Amino acid sequence: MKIEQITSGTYTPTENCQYVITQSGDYTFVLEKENLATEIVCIAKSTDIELAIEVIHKASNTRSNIKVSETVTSNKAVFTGKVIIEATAQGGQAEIAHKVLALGKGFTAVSKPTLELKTQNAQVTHKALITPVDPKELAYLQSRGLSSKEAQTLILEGFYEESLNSIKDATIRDRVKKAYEL
Amino acid sequence: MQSFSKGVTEQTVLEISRLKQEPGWMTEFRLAAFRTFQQLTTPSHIPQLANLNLEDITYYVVPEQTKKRTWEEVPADIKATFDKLGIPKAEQEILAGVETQVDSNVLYESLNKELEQQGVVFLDTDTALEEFPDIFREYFGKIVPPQNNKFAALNSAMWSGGSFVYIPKGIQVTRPLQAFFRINARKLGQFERTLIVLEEDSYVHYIEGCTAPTYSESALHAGVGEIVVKKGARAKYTTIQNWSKNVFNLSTKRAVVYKNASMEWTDGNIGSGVTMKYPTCELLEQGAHGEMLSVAYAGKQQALETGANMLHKAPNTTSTIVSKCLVKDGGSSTFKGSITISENATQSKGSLKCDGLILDDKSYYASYPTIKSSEQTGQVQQETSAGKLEETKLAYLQSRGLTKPEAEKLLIGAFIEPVITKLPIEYALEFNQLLNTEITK
Repeated sequence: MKIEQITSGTYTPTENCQYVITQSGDYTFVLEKENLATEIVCIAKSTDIELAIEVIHKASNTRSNIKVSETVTSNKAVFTGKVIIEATAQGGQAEIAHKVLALGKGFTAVSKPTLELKTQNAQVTHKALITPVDPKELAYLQSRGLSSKEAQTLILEGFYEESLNSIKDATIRDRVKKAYEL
Repeated sequence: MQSFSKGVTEQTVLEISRLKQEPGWMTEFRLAAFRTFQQLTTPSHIPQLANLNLEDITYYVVPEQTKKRTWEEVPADIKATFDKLGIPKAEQEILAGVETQVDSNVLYESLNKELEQQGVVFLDTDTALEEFPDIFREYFGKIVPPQNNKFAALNSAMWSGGSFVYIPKGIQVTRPLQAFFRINARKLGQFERTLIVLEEDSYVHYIEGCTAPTYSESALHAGVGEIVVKKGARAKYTTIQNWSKNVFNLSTKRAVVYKNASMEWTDGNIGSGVTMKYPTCELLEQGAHGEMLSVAYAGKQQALETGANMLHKAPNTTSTIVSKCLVKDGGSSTFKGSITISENATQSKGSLKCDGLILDDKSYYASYPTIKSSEQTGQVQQETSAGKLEETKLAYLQSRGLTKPEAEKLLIGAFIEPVITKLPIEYALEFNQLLNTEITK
C-alpha cells in the first residue's frame, strides 16, 4: 500500500493508497481502477480548517474510507465530504466518519457528509459527531489523581489514538504527532 | 366555476384580495409578497422544476358549491376520493373534524360540539381571517415570512384556503383534527395556508392527507404552514402526501417552539412529480423539543427532495430527525436536512439519521445532511446508510419459505417501520397500502 501526506489537489490512485491530510483544501479522489481501496485520514487540532473531500467511485468494487478527527477551541472547522458512486461502480463501498471534540468557546464546527448513489449495488455509510468532553470521564480521571489538565490531555490522546494509529507509515505518523504536539 | 386568467400579475393579487373582501393590511401583505416573489429566483438544482411554467397556472378559482356542514351533503366525487385513499366509512364518525379543500376554497368542514365547547377553533383560513382577525394578524406571515423562499412568497401573494387551528390554554384535543386536500381542476394552483396556534399546556394532532385525480397538465401545490407551540404545549403534525405524478409539491412549513414545548412532524411522501419540503423547528426556549419522522418513496419520473431542519437556540433543547427514502423505477429521492446548535444553547442535543433504500439499478438516491455546532456543551450527531436490500436477509427469508416478493415486502416494511409506527393506525394501514401499490406496480 502506498502512503502519502498530501495537499490540495486531484488524485487518481493506481494502487491501494492511504492519504494523510492535515491542512485545509479541496481534495478529489477518482477511483477508476477496479478493486481499488483508498483510505483518507484527516487530523486537525484547534486550528481554522476547511476541508472539502470528494471521492468519485467510477470502477467496480472500489472502496473508500474517510476518517476525520479534529478538536475545536475558538476556531472554525468545516468539513464537507462527498461520495459519489457512479452507475459503473457496481459493488462500490464507501464510509465517512467525522468526529469533532469541542474544547472551548466561540468555535464553529460544521459537518456535511453527503452522498450520491447512482446504482443500487453499493453500500455507503456516513456518520458524524460533534461532542464536548464527557464530564463524567473527566471527573473519573481526576478522582484517580490526575489534574484537570492531565485528564484533558489523556482524553485528547484517546480521541486521536485511533486515527493516528491507523496511519501506516511511522515517519508520517510521527510528523503529524509532532506538528500537533500529541 | 369562475376562474381567473392564467399567470401571476399584481392585478391577480389585487383581484383575489378584493373578491375575498379582505382587510387592507392583508392586501398590502399580498402585494409586498408578490414583489418579493418577483425578486427571488427559482431553485435550479432540480431539473424537473424547469417544466414548471408559473405563467401557465390559474391562480384562483371560485367554486360553485357552497360550504357544507355535514358529511351527507358532501359531493359524491369527493367521497369517492376518500374511498380511493382507503379511509373506512366508520372513521368519519370518530373524526374530530373534517375539512376538505377542493379547488381553492374549503368547501366542507365540520367541527363537533365537544371541540366547540372547549374553545377549539378549526376553520378554513379565509373564515378565520374574518372571525379571528386579532389572533390571525399576530401570527400570520411571522413564522414563514414571504422572504423565506420563492414559493413561500408566491403563496403569500396568492394564498387561498387551508386550515386555521387555535387550541386554548390547557386544552388537550384527544382526537386528531384532519384535513384532506385535493386538486380537481386542470392546471389549478393550490396555495393553501395553514396556521396553527397552541396556547400553553395544550395538545393537538393535526393530520393532512393529499390525493389528486390524474390529469394531463401540470399542477402546482405551494402550501405554507405556520405553527406556534407555546410553553408546555405539544403539537403533532402528520402529512400523507399522495398527489398525482404531474403535481409540483413545493411546501414550506415552520414551527416556533417555546419552553418545554414539543413539535412533532410525521411526513409521508409518496406522490407528486416533484416535491421540495423541509419542515423546520425553531427551538426558541429552554427545554423545547423538535422531531421529524419522514418517509419518502420516489418511483418513475418522480423527484422528491425531503428532510427537516432543527435550529437549537436555547439551553437544554433536543431534536431528532429520522428519514427513510425508497427509490424504484428510475425515481430520484434526496434527503436534505440539518441540525444547528447555536452558541449558548447549552446542554442541547440533536440526532439526525437518514437512510436510503435503492430498489433497482435505474434509480438515484442522495443525502445532504448538515450538522453544525457553536456550543461547547452541545452534542449533535448524524448517521446515514444507503444501499439495496441485504442479500443475506433476503436469502434467509426465502429459505424459510417466503417468495422473493414476500421477502422484499417484509424487509421494506422493516425499513420504514420506525416512521410508520408513529402514524395513527388507520393512516399506517393506508400508507402501507399506498406504498405496496406503488412498489408492486
